[in-house]
Formats: sequence, C-alpha cells, structure tokens
Amino acid sequence: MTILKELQDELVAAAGRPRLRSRISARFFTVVVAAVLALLIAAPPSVAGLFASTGSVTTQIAR
Amino acid sequence: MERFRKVDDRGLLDAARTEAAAFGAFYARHERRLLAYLVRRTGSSELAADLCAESFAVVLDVCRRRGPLPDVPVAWLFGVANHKLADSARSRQVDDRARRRLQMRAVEFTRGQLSEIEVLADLDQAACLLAGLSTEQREAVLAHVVEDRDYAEIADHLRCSESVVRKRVSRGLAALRVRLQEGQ
Repeated sequence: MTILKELQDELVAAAGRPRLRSRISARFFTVVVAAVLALLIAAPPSVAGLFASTGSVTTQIAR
Repeated sequence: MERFRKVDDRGLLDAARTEAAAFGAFYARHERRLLAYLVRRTGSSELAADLCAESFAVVLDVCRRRGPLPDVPVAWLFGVANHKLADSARSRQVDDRARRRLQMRAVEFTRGQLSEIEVLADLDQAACLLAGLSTEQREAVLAHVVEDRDYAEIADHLRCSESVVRKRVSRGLAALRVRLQEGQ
C-alpha cells in the first residue's frame, strides 16, 4: 500500500496516455489527408492543371 | 501489481513502455524509500512529496521517450531526486516540467499523508542508527526494546547467558544514544 495513492494513480494514467508528439502527428496527418482529398474531390482546374503539369515535367525529365 | 512481484526494476521500466500498470508497480516498490530519504534531506514532508512526484515523473518521461534505461534504475531514481533537490534549493521551488509534459494533474497531499511521511523520516533514522550496531547488539536491542521480550527469553533464543544479553542491550543503547547526540 502506497502513501501517495493519488500520485501513483496519476503516474499510471500518464503512463497509459499516448505521447503528445504522436497525437500531434496523427492529427496533422489526418488534416493533411483530409485537405488533399477535399482538393481532389473538388478538382478545381488549377489543381488539375498543377497535377498535369507536374506529370508532364516528370515525364520529360524521365525521357 | 501482484504479477510484477518477481520482475526486477529494469524489467518493470521496460514493461512500463507498453503497460502502464508496470510503472505503478515500480512506484509502489520505491515510494517509501525515496520519501524517507527526501524528508530526511529536506526536513519537510510537503517538499519531499513534491520532489518525489517530480522524480518519478522524470523517470516515466524517459521511459515513454524510449530512451536508454540504466542497469540500476533505483540508483537512477535517487540520482534524479538528488538533482531535483539541488535545483529546488537553488531556485527555492520544485520544478514541475516533467509533470507538465506528462499532463499530470497537481496532486494535493492530505495532512494524514504528510504526517505518514514524517514518520518515515524517524523510521529511516532509526534504521540507519540500528544498522550501525553490531549484529549481536542489534538483535538484542530489537528483541528487548521493540519486541518487548525479557532477558531470559532472549538469552534462551540466542543461546547465551542472560548477563551477555543485558550487556549487549545496554552497550547497544549507549551506542545509539551517542549517535543520536552526534546527529543533533
């Protein structure tokens, strides 16, 4: 039996929590994926053009 | 907690990276010794509790970052506590960075808990004093003073004469008295 039981409980709870950095990167990843999906779904001409031009440049470099 | 009984400290900290309860077992194993040490060094049970919380939080933080673990985690824990103790003496406040990093709530210590920590200091001091006696004197003093057994019974148990037991008890108590006076 510990003297500072509340402290022990807090430490155990902290040990079980996911790390802040991994939570931030998970959230960041979700936001980026959502943004890219939104752009692709909406597919405004500028975005489509950007992809097309990038593709053509890559193709030319490859040649 | 029972299943961690046979796991050594290093194993507990390793396990704590994936299983939170393992850190609870590590805490339970070393709480009293660390608190006793800190309250003796600081003279304040509140300060000792605060330093104890931050020291364990630092150890947990390193475990969670998957940093290298020392071979003797208890020595590391006491080293961290010493470091925090020196910092607090310099800045006149206990650092709480590790606890904030871990998003731990501030724990309020009750009067009962603080007095229990004060008792630890006395027990720790008594244990240190007793450790300084020879084995024969320590056995005799513990049997007569703590267990309240009479000289004849102790003599029978230790297989020596009653006068030898009396001599050991009186010399042991005299040595304790001298050490107590030296410590004051």
